[in-house]
Amino acid sequence: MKRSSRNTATEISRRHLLQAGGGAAALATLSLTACDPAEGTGETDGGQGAPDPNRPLEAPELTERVDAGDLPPLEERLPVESDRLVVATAALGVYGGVYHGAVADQGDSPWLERMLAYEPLLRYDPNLDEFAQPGTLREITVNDDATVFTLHLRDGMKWSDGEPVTADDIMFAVNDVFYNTNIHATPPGLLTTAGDPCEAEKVDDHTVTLTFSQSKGDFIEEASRAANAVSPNLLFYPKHYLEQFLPDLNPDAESVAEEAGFGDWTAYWEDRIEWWNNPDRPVLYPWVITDPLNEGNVVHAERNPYYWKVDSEGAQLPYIDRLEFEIIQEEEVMLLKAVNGELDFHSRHFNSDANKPVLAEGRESGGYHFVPVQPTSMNRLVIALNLNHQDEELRGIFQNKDFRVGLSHAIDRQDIIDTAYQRQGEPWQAAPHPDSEFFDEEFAKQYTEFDLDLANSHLDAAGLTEKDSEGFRLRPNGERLRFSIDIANLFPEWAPAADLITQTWAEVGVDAQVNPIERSLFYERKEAAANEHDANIWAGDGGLKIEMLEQRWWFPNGGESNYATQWAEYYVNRGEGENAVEPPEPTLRQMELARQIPLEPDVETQKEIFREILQIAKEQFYVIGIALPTAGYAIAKDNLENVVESFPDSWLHMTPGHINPPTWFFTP
Amino acid sequence: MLRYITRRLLILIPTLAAISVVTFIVIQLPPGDYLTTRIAQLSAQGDGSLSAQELERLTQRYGLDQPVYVQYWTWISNILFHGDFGDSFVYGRPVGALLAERLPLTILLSVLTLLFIWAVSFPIGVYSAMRQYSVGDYTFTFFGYLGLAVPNFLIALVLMWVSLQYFGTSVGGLFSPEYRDAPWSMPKFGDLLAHLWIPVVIWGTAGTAANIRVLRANLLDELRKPYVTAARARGMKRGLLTIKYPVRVAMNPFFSTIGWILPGLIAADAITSQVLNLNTTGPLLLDALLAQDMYLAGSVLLISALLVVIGTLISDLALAWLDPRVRLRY
Repeated sequence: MKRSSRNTATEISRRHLLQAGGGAAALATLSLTACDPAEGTGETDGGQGAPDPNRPLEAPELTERVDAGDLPPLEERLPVESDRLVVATAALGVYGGVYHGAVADQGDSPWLERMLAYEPLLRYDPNLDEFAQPGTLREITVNDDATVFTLHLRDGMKWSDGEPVTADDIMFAVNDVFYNTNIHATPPGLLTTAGDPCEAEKVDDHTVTLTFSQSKGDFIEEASRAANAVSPNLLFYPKHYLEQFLPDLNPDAESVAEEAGFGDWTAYWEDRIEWWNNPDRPVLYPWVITDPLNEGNVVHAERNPYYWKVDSEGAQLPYIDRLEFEIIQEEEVMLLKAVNGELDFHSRHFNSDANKPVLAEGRESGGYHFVPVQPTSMNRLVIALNLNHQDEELRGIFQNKDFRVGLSHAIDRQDIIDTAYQRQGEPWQAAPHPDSEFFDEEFAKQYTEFDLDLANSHLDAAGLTEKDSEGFRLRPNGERLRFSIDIANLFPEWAPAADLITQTWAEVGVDAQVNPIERSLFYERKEAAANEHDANIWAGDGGLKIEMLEQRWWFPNGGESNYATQWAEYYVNRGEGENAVEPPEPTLRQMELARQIPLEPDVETQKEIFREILQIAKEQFYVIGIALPTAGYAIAKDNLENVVESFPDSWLHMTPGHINPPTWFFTP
Repeated sequence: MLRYITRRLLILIPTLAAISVVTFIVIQLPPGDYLTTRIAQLSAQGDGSLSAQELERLTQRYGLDQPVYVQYWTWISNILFHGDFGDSFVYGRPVGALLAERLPLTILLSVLTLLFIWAVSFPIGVYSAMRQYSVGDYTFTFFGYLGLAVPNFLIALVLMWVSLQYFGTSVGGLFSPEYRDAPWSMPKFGDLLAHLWIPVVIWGTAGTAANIRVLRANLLDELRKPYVTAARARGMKRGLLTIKYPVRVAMNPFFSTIGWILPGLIAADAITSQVLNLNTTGPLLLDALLAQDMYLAGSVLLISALLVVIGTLISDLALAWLDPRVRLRY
């Protein structure tokens, strides 16, 4: 078996630990090497001289409970010394304090996940550059053709109720949860290669192997991402607690569910696994929910006495005692609270460009500051013409590249940037971000020049030469070429930007109407089954740090590829599906390449294949981009320490989870 | 009288049946269902989306793939035969429990608001009628109209800003963070009062204005009636006379509005509560409607419809008790 080539952090840890026999010196070295230097913006452990022998290694409240006999001593609660995850921190923290935050409502549980449930099997560094760093697993080793993965658990690691975390938990997650068709209609992508599920085998209490039928080149990368709907986590399900709800393991599961007032066991299962609504459920998180989201109006979480991460001096994390999230449905109220300095850290809901001046004004009195947030998207807005339009004639026009190029030239991007975006940004197509390794200037800048003559000649070339008395171009059937652009009420800048776009389009004889609609209607209209939209506008998700993960704008890969949801269905269902429509040759080629990427063990080869996908996207020019987004912001209280100076934001990584909230602490 | 009450109660049954059907259909009218709303919300906040298979599984689990009449029957039969209003999709908890959690505060606020409205509008209304077209009358009328015309949520936002800017009170909710979980004490009670006046005044303004105007108009009508002149001619004191006769007659609106309080308990002023971040039933209903959480929304609407009907009955009875003229018409 060969160690994963990217797994440098773990290699170092292993070597040092073997040499030093797991001593504290090795842990300190490991902590400095294992974590990305970008995180160490302030002083690191080394800069602070010898460790203070009087510094407590656990929170005083836990020491009290140990003394009272309610809790085993720290040594027994942490994994064995060599298996603790050491997190390098800019400063060593002090225990105590309550974090005050806000959560919008029931639907906002992802914000709680992002803040306190970021525990993937392996981790990315805070800047999202390197993956395969140790996470809930100590490491994952892989054989040469990436078919057999060995998962190494941490010896002595415990769930938040004190029960040990073992290989059985992973076996349970794979066989009883992910392969249970009552819970998961199909096994998740992490556990399949080319549609084939892998086989899990328990080697010993702390080792599990996963064997795939073909290479699974993206396993380690995906295992390094946080757990959510799209990226399943094999250490999310405590077997000793959850097995009682599954009929396979508990014959009474059905009656247990009924007694609890649920229709069937799947409903009860889904209710019980939601840790934000179920304080009984053991977790591996730094804080444990005590008052759930669906009761009362404040969510409370208190420290997990069995948390398995320590700082570089071996002191148990997290530093902050308790988290409080007030349930605030109205974003304006959250904003007022933020201005009043009542939120300790927030990077969601109200952090729009429009609110920035208000928040900037309140910085001094509120005692908070801005933390720049690097967007991982590449565009403010992307116009997607529906290439699968129901109307055959419109479909033909939209699919004509000359038509799209003409429209692109007929957009005054600089004017939009100046008017709707406070002069922030740069004309940009739906192409990778300039900071991306896949950046291609030609792709980014093609057809962005505002030139009505050029636009007219392209539109003429598309065969739309006839015009009506008002100067609007006619379709082949003699009617005026007219279509609407759906926009959802997500960003306030979209509506004025769309108006500016349609104004200049009118000058080249294209009659487009802006159609602002409610978000769920927007979604309803663009579904492959409905396919009712002519065109629509959405943000340019992906393009930096997550180029290969978020592919919606490179080729039709799912329901979010607004320009061709029926082609996307063809891809998702592998040619099947009620609404699937076979795409043209170049798009098929992209799909084939995309399927090939995960089968490729070598990361560099994966990138080569991805470049070809991008190349085709550039030639196809599916959608029209407008402008590159500029940095967003989060707010953090001035007395909250160890918050990074800036961070990238991506839902795929459950930001801000990867910037290590357990290491935050309040200035004493 | 008994016959009257029985008849009213019997009419209640078809009325509620019709209301339940209509609300259920209206809730289903907007495009999509709970799951599409949920997906739209997830993507809008950048939290990913659900896979097609997952979506299909959830659709079946929530019974959203069944025709509307089947969904309606599941809902209504559970209410009728088991007293079970169903589970909220969003909260994953029984509707009954959700309402129970929010009712005490809703009732407290509604009652306080009602008392506020009465306490303010009664003296002002009488004063305005007795001193018609005086400076005082114009002043109260002006502020009354202002309160009536300005949307409540706007007043709410302004008052919140004022209390934040000038009093430094933590806005939203009924307690400052430091008292939220503290046991009851004098400072906590003080903190509650510091927050409570905002919703009471906001809801009060509109109601007060309406009540003042109605009381004033009714009283003006009465004051010009011959019996008042006759009583005055016989030397009855003006103040005593007014209180004893015309005011009593003009009081009708106070009682006829009792009927509106009951539904108000449930639906409250959703938007104002939302803005003020009050844990009342109003925002619960608003959210349920937005999220197409149909069992929750349907049940809240059904219960408030029931309360409207009962409230109207109660205010009719109260009026009959107050005013013999009304009583004699039965």
